[in-house]
Amino acid sequence: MQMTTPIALLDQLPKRIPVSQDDGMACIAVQSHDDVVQTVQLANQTQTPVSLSPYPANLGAVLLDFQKLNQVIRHRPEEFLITVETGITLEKLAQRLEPFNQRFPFVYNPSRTMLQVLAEETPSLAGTRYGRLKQFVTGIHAVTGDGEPIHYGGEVVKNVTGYDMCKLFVGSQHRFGLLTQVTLKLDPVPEASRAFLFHIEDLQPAMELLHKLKRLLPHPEMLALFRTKKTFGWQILLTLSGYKQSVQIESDRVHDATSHLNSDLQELFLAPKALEQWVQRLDWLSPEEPHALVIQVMLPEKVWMDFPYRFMGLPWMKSADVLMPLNTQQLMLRWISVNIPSDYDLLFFKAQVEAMGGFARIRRAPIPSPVDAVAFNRQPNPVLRRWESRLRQAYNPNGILPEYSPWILPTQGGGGQ
Amino acid sequence: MTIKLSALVRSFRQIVGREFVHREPEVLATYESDGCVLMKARPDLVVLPNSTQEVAAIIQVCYEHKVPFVARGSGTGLSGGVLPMQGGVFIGMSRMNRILEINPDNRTATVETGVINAWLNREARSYNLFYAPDPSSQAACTLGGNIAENAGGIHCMKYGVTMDHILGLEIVTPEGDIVWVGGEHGYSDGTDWVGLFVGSEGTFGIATKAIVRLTPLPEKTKVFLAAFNRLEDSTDAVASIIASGLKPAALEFIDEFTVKAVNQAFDIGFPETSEAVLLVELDGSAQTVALDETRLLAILQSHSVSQLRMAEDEKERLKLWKARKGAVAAYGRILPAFYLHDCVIPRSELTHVLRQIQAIGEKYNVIIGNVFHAGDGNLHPNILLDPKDADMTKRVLDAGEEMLEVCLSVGGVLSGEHGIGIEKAHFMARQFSEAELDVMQRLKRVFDPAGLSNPEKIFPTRTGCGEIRKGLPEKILQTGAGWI
Ligand SMILES: Cc1cc2nc3c(=O)[nH]c(=O)nc-3n(C[C@H](O)[C@H](O)[C@H](O)COP(=O)(O)OP(=O)(O)OC[C@H]3O[C@@H](n4cnc5c(N)ncnc54)[C@H](O)[C@@H]3O)c2cc1C
Repeated sequence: MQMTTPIALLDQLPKRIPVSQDDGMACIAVQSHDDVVQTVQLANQTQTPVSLSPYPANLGAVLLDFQKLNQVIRHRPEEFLITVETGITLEKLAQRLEPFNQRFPFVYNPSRTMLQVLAEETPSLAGTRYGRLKQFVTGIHAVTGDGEPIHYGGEVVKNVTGYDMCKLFVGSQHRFGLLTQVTLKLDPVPEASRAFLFHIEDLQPAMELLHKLKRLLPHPEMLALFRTKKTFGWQILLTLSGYKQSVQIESDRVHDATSHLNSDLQELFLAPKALEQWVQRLDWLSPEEPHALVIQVMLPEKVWMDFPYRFMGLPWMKSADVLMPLNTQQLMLRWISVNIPSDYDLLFFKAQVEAMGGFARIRRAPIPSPVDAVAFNRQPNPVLRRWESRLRQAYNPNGILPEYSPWILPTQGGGGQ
Repeated sequence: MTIKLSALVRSFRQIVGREFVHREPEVLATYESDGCVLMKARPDLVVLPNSTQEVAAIIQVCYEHKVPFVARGSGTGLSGGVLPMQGGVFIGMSRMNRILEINPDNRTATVETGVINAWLNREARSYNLFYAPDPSSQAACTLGGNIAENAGGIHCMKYGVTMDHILGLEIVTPEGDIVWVGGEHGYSDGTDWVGLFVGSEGTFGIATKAIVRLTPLPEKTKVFLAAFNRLEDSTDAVASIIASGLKPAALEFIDEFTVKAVNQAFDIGFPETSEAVLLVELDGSAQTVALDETRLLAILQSHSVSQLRMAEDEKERLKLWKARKGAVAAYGRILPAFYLHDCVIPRSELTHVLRQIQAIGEKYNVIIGNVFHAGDGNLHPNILLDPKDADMTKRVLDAGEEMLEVCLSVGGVLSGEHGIGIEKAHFMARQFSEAELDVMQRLKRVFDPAGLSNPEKIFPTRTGCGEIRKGLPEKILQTGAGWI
């Protein structure tokens, strides 16, 4: 598309929509679904790209700010459903739900907005029990890249009426449309919860314990293995929740199964607060982390145990943080050191993951550049590439929305050309 | 470009062998409808491939000559989804029925999509696992059909619908390419190709293989049969169960009429003096089931449950579910066919909507049996009919339409699990604006720009959004749309 400075767009924007400057970039503070529709339509008419932090921005783009699009539209506690505007933070959502003893069960850094986590379908530690974020979205209001508003689904928990547009817009990083409202499934706050942290020096016994816990407990809320720079060795985070008696029984089983181990078991008695800190620390896609390279790997469970043995020996791995939440079958690696692996290292790594039947993607945080996307996407599957290009043509024909996924080096087509 | 039928037959015989290409009218007649018997359309040819490569080769021929094609599983669909609206080729998946791998460590199975749902479950159980989506038709329907419709079932309330259990798919695209999306790891990058394909009703190509998630069998399972003298008490009990945060594995509603039909057919001994029966299944650890049970019983009692039965052993439990799943067959003893809607409504609206449905039944003088997934708010008013009786058929269609309006008016949606197919396509404009329909239809053009894969489904086409409902069945009844 031809780039223009955003003056034409700003001139035509209704006066009620506030505009400010953010780092020299015009920033439009939308306050309603209609504002977003109108702005995107004007952007199409004036050929002005729009951008949402932290997605790759084209030159001359205006920034859309969703902070004020943050209202609860309707809460139906009796249905365990809530409809919210997507600029709402997880903190505000949790506050609204607290008096009803309800919660949105996916945990993230509370300062994040729904829009951010939905655009990325950000993995959550609670995925161990709850699966994928998408499964908790029952309805959306969105605006396509060419400014068409769409409403799909709603306050119903099952729906096969036409194509599932939630699947198109959630997780696709704003490339085809902007989500303005979502209806989410909720969960009751469990009667009891307990969190445990195990410290284990070596990887092998840590993996064995992880495996054991997984067999022992049918539905832990979180079960993750990780290493951070600040700690020596490995840690396993385990949280249990449910009825008081069930949690007690499960906790006893955990104690019995681990008492003979040479590990340092610590129970986080102040569960909610202590846990929050862990969750924030482990929120690895956090844009606050400068110069980080994040690698997300999904592995079939059967090879999951092999992974550390195959890869921990790689010299560049030594500077990585590792997080392995179970069930969602993902392993996340983050480098924040200056020793960033070479392109060759990354390609080799990717090939190895694929050979194990897995899937890997890589991004630079906080602001990935479109150049990365083009450079790294060397051999995407031709069929998926064709579909991806048709999708862009169908939903973002004028290239108004960010055209590239912030992920680079996907193993199965996807973003980029 | 068109091609002569005989030339097409020759090409397909070369691909799959002579005995697997059918054009005999008596064979084609067996393929002319699905579970929605009001409508019929005959394909010009039936081809039965045995491998993904054969499916791809068939579609390549179709693509080259612009011949429409439709995948067919077992034909149990309830929305006319398999009707070949423009004639063309039926690609029957019945020979692609192999379970390729069950991996208990990974808790996954890799299957060809012609595998019958119940077969997979039988195999999985020997590993203490199960495949959770269990449509009542599971003894007959294929996983390919389940994937295409995003089928639900009795236990989907807790375990989720088909989509939640599909990790990867091998697809033959409408342009004849073979592609894998997702995988054992269950992820697609950026764009959720698996999520888009599941529920696309055969309009995005043909799924030939699937990697599905298997779930560990619960430690303990208990089923409760609760009878209520007043319908309101039963539906209010459903609303209270949901509002309490309890998550039963299944929560099903059966009305008085259906209870009687089921008793006659299966001699199950459901209480006949009540207006409604709920079947509630709890599962999980023994401890959790016991605690859930206490809460459940308190709720049922607070809604004046009149009789309560409990099935703890597997034999009794299976007997109850068999009766529930056989309800539709039981209607067959009363009238030869039924017309069925599949709306989903907020669960707090159940009482109100069911009373309205009753009133509509009386207004049009039609027999309605209600048996449905109450926990999901997924209604199934079965309106019984004799298709040979034109007046009755008209009343049934009119009553169905009015019920649908009631559901939409409380924030409901047209379909929860059976799909739109051809049967509900003309209703789509009641739920979506024309612009929204256009935004959805753009997806079809992404996957199938030539429009060959199961054409004329989901969206109103023939006379635009104002498609004439009453003209539709007659039109479709002209068998073989005479494409070739
Ligand atoms: C008595 C009865 C009870 C039922 N109960 C339920 C229930 O509880 N829950 C529920 O969800 N449904 C139910 N159904 C509906 C039906 O069984 C489901 O929709 C089922 O998924 C259809 O599977 P099938 O193999 O029969 O597919 P078909 O009827 O042959 O086809 C259905 C659609 O899927 C497409 N298709 C088939 N195979 C493929 C493939 N491999 N790739 C791409 N597209 C394909 C077809 O083109 C068609 O559009 C019931 C039906 C009956 C008759």
